[in-house]
Amino acid sequence: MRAAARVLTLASTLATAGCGDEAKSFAPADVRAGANPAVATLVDVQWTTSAPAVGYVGYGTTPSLGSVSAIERTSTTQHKVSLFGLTPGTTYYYQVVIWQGHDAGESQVQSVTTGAVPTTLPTFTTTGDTSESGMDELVLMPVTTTKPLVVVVSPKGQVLWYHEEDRPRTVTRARFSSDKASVLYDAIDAGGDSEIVRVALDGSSQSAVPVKGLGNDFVQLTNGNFAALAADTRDSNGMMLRGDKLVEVTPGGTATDVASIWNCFNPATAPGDGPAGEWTGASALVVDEGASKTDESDDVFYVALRDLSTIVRIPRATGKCDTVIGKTMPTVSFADPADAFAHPGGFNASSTDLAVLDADGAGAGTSRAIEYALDLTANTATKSWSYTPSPAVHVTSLGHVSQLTQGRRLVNWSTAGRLDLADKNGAQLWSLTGPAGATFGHHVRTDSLDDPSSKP
Amino acid sequence: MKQHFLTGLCATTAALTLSAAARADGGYFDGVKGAHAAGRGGAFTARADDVSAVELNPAGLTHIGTTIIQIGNRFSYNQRTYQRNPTLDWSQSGTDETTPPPYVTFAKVSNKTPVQALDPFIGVASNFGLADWAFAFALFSPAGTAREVYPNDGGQRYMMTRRNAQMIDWNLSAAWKYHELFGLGVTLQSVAVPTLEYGLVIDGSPYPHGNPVSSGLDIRANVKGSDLFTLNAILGAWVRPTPNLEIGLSGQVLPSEIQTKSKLAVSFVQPDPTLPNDTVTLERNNVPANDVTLTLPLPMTARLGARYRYLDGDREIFDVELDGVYETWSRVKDFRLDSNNIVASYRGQNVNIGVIDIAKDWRDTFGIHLGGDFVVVPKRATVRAGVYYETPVGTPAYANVDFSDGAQYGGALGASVYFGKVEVAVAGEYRAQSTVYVSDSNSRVYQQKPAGSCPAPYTDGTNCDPRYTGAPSPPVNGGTYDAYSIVGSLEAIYRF
Repeated sequence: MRAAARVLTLASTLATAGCGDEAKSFAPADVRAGANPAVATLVDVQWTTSAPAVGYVGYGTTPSLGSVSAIERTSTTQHKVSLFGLTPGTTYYYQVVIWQGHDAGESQVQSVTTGAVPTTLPTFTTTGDTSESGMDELVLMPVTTTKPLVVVVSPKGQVLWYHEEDRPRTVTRARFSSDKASVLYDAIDAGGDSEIVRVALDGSSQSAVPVKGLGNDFVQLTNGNFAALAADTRDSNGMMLRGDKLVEVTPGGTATDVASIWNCFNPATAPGDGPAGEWTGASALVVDEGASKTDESDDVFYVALRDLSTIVRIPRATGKCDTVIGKTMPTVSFADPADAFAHPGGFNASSTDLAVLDADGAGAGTSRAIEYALDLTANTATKSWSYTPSPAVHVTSLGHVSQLTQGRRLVNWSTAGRLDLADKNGAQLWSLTGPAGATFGHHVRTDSLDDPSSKP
Repeated sequence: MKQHFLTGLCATTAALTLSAAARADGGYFDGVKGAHAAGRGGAFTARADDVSAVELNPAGLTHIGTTIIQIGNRFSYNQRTYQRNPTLDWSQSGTDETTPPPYVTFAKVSNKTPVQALDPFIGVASNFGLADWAFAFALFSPAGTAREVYPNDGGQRYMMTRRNAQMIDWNLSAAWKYHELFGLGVTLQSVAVPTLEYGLVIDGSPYPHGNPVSSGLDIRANVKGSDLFTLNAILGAWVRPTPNLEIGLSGQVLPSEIQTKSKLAVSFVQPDPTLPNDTVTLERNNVPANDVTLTLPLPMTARLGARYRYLDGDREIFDVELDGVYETWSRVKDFRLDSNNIVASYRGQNVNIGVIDIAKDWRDTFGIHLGGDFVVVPKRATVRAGVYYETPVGTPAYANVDFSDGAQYGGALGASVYFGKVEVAVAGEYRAQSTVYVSDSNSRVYQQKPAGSCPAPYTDGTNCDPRYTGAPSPPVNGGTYDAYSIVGSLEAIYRF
């Protein structure tokens, strides 16, 4: 019998020899998911693979799934993908798909339940049909209610991602980091202990870059540094006045002055109309890194100076305001003086175009978004579009205007806590409103949280 | 008699048991022709005492000792299945890859023409009154699966959609023996291929990115032709050192190949209805042309068999034969379709089809066959049985649905009943292939993409798809292959 068993064993071995004895499954291993402890709308899915692979996760509220994450960009054997924008307290089904070598594999469909959101999280209401309006982008912005938060809001008003700033800070700007892994925001401390905070989108880490006198806006440059507005307080006729300057800050917190508004204006001849002790009131910053992102010498900065009702252009190479649009010592004149803006907030600027949130140019108690065609040869600014909602909205600071496709504009009525999408004719298409008393900081747009970008 | 039966039963049982550890042949062919040989699992090189000896060992014709006519047919059910591996359809991901490629699974496909009802064997042998001589003529198609058809939209379509290989071997043999000590024989064989058809789908896309699932420029290509004469020769010998032991040796000794003159037909799988006359035209030197050649090498073969004869006086009661068969399938590196620079024109493109190689990289095979006869009632009834094992002809990386690449094993039973001068022989055989699996990463059969410009070693980031680094195009033979055949043989042998 033993001999017969050996013969059968040998026979079995020979019968399968050379017939493709490699692994027949490329399914991901050790697949697991958990509600993210920091963000209740987030689930982290992890798995391993036997060889370097990339993968993605299909997910949905039914076993048939329906949504997918982005595919991983680099091959690895230890995988983690975060699913954003989930509904809190809800069971989700998910399935991992991998690409290993030239092989595809998938896991079984499993389930996970998301956590609960904090009670302080604001709720948003929307009007207008997102499909008809074409509002299909996500908005990242600071929102301040009882405490400052940074949120990513869907076109339907759903909070897809959030982070609470628990310290008594003012948050006016949020952007996605250039590595697409984090959200950056300014945490402005009245006591001067300000910083640019980096929070990983998956909630896994938080760090900060201290910036002395940090102002209302910053931009992450291609070189990884930050260009930021910062306070530049100087003595003017025996009175300390807060002006603004541009600084470049390394990730380690080393700041270098790039330009100062004091080099462009003199408070004696160009007084601002801000509160006592403030002069220029820089509210927003736009950076044009030029054709070569790595050659910093062609960088150009645009700064909105709320209290001077002016927007200035400052080439890095000179540090001087070579173009001034607005009320104070302008180099560019408005084709129709009635179209001049007053107390500008957020804006977009290029050599041919300027779109700005005009807090007070349309008259008392009425703010508007306005756009100009610029001719910097003739030094003229001609109104090309504007939007004034009805009933009127009035903002006191910040705000923003995004230029979308098909002539649509996304207007951020900051202190009114509202976003409007207007068409090329200035008609409202869609609106998102925060809770009563909420104020919004400068926003950026992105198509997805899987591959976030900071579209102005 | 009882003792003989028990001895034969034990020997047959031993053959069935031990032969599972043995090995044997594959490639284009499955098994052997002739009910006697088939019923013994192909262990017939030494015995070779009917007209099928023309192929298995022509020297064995001298065992016949008279004139016989042998007519039969082989019926077979040849099931082949293929389950293509799932893949990611990168052609459906966004250009910025923010939309992941969908995970695509494929339905299992199978041969739609498994039944092969007509597979005749016709032969005559005679010694013409010369005691030590034998001559034979035989006409048959080699044992195999002539036709396989798969779905045009199946997961295998980039490998093959259809194959039809009709082959006829014309055999003329002569043999001579020296008493009952040894014999020599030779067969001249003409291999005629009246029809050789091969079809597959190719991707006509000129773009670098792969279309592993389907392409809007999928083109159905079918080549059909014939080669009516390929010369082959088989030499054989047997020696009987003792009355109880007989050794047979034979070999197919010419390195020949089938080279068909064929016609190539191409058409879009899904013509664009919005385009007028959305067709593919073929021409050479600006003159319409569709003539191509398709080359398939034939193996050389060596057979060595030894059989033990249990005799009762001069009468053989049973025998057990063990054969080894070696076939040089390593001659088959690819099936080569040479278009002689035919240019295909479609949708504004002119693509030189050049040479299409269907990679094979086959290996030499070795098979062991064990079988024997047992005379139940002298001159009335004989039973036989056999088993065999054949090493895989293909490496899994080059597996294809066109032929069974994996290790083959099987068992057979047979019987003969005699009615005077007429013998009716039957055989039943089950032949299976060990499951062959190949991952897409290890597969080496790639989508035919003649308009592509991805150069070896296929790492050019501009002209090659980075998702398939190291490959000219998506691999298309990854998956699981299974095959089995159920074969029945029926013959009538008339002995004058």
